[in-house]
Amino acid sequence: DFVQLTAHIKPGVVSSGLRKALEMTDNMKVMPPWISIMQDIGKPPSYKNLVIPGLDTEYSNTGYREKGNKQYND
Amino acid sequence: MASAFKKVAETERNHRATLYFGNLDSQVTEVLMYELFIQFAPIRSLNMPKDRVLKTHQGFGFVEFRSVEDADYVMDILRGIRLYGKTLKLKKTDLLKSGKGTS
Repeated sequence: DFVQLTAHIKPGVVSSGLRKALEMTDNMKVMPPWISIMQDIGKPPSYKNLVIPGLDTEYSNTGYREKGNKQYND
Repeated sequence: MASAFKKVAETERNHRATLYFGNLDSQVTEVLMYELFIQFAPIRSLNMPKDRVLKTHQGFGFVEFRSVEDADYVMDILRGIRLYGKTLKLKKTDLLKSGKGTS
């Protein structure tokens, strides 16, 4: 069901399915288009205190992190 | 996130924190939209009405966030984004309500 289907989904991790829908390359080193918009308009209000790869650190498709390295939502 | 796909009673929904999304390709799923929106804010509920017979979505849905700020941010950051080549349409549902009641 949906709970199971979404349990693994975490902010900052973009699946190959979503990449395909966005017509992005499958290269996981390429960041999604909204990261550069975040550089202009600021971080999402609810994720202000998280470390966002591509903004706060080098981009990686591994998820937003709490300061001190803990993965958000784990 | 167990509650994300439960049907939210109309009276419990915070319309000011809810967005209508539309112009969806048939390949788009609830799970895909969940994955997209959660990049920008935690989700309180998400649903895409299905055709009773065909069980397919009808090209639109609703997503409720925790706050108006979250909803406004999502409107800003996803402006003009395309899924399977189709431009995603986003609208605040409180504006739909005050308009011609199309929700």
